[in-house]
Amino acid sequence: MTDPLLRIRDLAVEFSARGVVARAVDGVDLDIGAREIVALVGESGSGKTTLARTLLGLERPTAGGIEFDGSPLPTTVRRLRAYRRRVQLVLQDPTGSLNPRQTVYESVAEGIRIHRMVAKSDGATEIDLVARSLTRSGLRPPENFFLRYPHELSGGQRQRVVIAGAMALEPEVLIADEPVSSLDASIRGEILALLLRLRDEFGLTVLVVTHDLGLAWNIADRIAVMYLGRLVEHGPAERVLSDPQHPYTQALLSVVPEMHHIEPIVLTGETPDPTRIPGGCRFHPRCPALLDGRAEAAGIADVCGTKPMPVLDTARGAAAACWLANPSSS
Amino acid sequence: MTTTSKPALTARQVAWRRRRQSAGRTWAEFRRHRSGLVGLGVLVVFGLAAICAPLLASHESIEVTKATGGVLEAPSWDYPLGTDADGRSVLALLIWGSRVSLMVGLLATAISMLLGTLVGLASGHYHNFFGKALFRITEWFLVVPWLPLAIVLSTVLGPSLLTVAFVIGIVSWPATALLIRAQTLSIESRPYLERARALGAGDWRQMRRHVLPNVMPMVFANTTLTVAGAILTETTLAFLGLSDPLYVSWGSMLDEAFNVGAITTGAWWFMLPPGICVIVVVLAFTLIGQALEEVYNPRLRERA
Amino acid sequence: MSGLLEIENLEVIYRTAGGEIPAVRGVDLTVDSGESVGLAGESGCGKTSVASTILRLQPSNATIRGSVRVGGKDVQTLGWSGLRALRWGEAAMVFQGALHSLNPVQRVGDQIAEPILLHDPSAQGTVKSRIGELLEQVGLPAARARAYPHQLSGGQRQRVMIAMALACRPELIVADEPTTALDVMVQAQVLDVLSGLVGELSLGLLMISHDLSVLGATCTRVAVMYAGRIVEEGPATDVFEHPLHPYTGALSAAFPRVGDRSARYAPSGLPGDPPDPQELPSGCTFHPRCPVAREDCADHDPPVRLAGPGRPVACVLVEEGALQP
Repeated sequence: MTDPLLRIRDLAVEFSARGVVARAVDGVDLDIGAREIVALVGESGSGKTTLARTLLGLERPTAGGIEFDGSPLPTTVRRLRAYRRRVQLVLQDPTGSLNPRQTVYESVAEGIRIHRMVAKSDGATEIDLVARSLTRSGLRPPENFFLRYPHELSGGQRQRVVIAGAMALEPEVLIADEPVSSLDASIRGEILALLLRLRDEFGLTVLVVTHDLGLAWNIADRIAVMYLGRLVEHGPAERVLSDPQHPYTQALLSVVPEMHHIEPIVLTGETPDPTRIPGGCRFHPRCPALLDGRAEAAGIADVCGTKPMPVLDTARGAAAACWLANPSSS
Repeated sequence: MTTTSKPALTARQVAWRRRRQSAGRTWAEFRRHRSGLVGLGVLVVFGLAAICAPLLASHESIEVTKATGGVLEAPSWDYPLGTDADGRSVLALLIWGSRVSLMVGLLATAISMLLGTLVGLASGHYHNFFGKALFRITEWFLVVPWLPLAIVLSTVLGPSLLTVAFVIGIVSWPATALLIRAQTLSIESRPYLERARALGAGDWRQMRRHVLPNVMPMVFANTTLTVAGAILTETTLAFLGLSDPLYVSWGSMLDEAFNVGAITTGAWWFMLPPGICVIVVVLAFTLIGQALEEVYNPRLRERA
Repeated sequence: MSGLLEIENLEVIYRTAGGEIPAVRGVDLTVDSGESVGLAGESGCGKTSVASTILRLQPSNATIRGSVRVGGKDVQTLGWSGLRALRWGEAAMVFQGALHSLNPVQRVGDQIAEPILLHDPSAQGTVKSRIGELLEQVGLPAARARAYPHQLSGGQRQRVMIAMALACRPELIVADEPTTALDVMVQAQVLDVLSGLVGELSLGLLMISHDLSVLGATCTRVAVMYAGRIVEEGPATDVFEHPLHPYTGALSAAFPRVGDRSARYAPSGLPGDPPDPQELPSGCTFHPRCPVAREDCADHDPPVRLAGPGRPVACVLVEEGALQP
């Protein structure tokens, strides 16, 4: 792709507590281009939330690097603040994301005040900027919402306020962590449609972190599937979801309740934790292809458990980190 | 309401009105706790007595050189609570003593709350060496036995009302700091703090606009309980003779009564009233504090 | 035959300082043994209130009208000993949020043993083997009985909750949002366990969820609730794939079929929010958000009509017998 906006290379983020090291992100290569909507799919323990938070500068990478618009991620307080104007965050729980003691106006104005947007705008006052942001997030008329407190709003309205607060900074990238998972089903569509509209109207780039493949189908251009700190599959959304190459993606897709026509592959065992990453291909202890003999038939069964899997080179278009899917490379 | 001539002021003014509304609701909720109201009533009485002391009993009545009563006289019409060993009216002493006890108690609490809140916030917010050091200092002060510390400090700094207030403040701030720290840690783990950080808020902004307002209710409830403790501590110190000898306080009255052997001579009017006053005032503050805790807790739960 | 669970014209009204809140406004529901019925709906629709009446766990400020019968007995008028026998012995609940429903300082095995011993104190000797049996039924090794809740994962805790519900061999299980907040793979495991148990033990299962697709895949029948009433009911796949009520249509479309091209870049949802039970819209409560509402929808609350056998729908646009050729 032409000059990606965000370039992640060999990223690793480790947490250590009492001598035990958890490799939450263990080697990720990913490019995100301008105006793209990329879905980062995975379950709990996959490292997707850690990856998102590292992109925002809320976590420090242990290894590897992130480049935004050609320059590496800033580390000093002042440059980090400037970076935050351009890359913003929407969290999962809209109720918890808003300070219960601040009115909607104050919540949205916060970012505007921190970054002194009024001085940079062309004659607009703070009220104008707040009103504009609320309108863009679908809260009309904005004046009705200025003095409301979060507990007086519904879940969907709260999420719109959070989005308005982020959009008030006119960012280039929005990172949304499970933006609709705690909202009622009938209003999910509205919030997702809002994200699409923001991309179309303002050229926003969106990275959606989610475990919901249906959501990815709804709005994503590309999908990256994470398992235990690494990307295991990557590609255009339609290709990944209609013809998944990696056994993990195949299993995930098969258990989505609407997929009646696919025999569900329910993986045994629990999602292993990042402090004890299996050797060889990290998915091999639960891999259905290994358990049902397909790997054996292809003659690679012993490779799966022993040979370490390299980091998925998504920049070169590599699709799946699996010996079975890429017979030539094993 | 499309006012672009007077911007943020309008929004903030109305936001203030809403805060006053919320204060009104707090008061209405507090009114439902009878115990709290009783405590408040008692405090108002004592407070008025302290403020109007010169009107209720002239200053001369507590000056030793102008004492007109006999030694340890039993209560009578002239002296409703009898007299002390110097012939002063015990009632007058009680009224003037309330000033010192209450003032020192409040001043000490102010010191304690200020110090405790600052240290608690900082040690809860900063997870680096600075924060950890503050925490260790808090723990150290908590562990050191307060009475010997108080005695040493009073002796070194000399006996004056300010010293006493300062000593009490030094001795009671760690408990507040620990409480505020725990509350800060809990608030900082909430998503809206993360959002503030993601928006670009610095440490100072995070603490001032997000942590502090949400910590304040707990601080408020804790303050009233701290006052109770401070008054008790002042009484103790005065009883031990560490307070300013120039001023009468309930503790110093107890000290005098003890020295003069009021119990053995049966002069109950000298011994009992100051003790009862201390108990009643401390109880009043405690009742208010407990009522406030109940008022603030369900709200914190429903807002969270 | 009398069903295992028979709810007839149930109304639940909460008395609060602010007035009366009609959370449930006339619900009919039946569950037979070996049948799994899904109750779908969003926040405020009253589904949890319905569930709470089955074991008479509704809060004290709730007024109940209508009848709730389990095994033929009216739950609301049972005496204390009858209620004790009913709770867990005949009907059990799997609560939402297993994380908070388990006692963090008690071993999991002891928590499962508690209802067993409460119902039959003499079972002290056999309780250990019963616990092992229960854990294995839900797919956990018997040795896990010695674990504390924090040592188990989310999916494992939910399975412990199911094992606890089975402890006294009930005939009816009510599962309130059993898979919310679980990963999709763990959700599949838990749903597998539940459907397996329904088959093996001939249990009746009432599953409550806001995720219509989960109910569509696991239950035989589904009832959709909106603002305290059931607006559509029928065989699960039928309701999910061919919804008749516009609300069901919207709920179903909210979980798009992966592979359906028309859902690409077209997330579908409803405007507005689920109604507040204190301020229900007039007429048909769904009309403010309904994509096909007519002018008179604000005036009349549509009666329930049978679009086909076992297919009641409450929408003025659906004619009686509409599904029949």
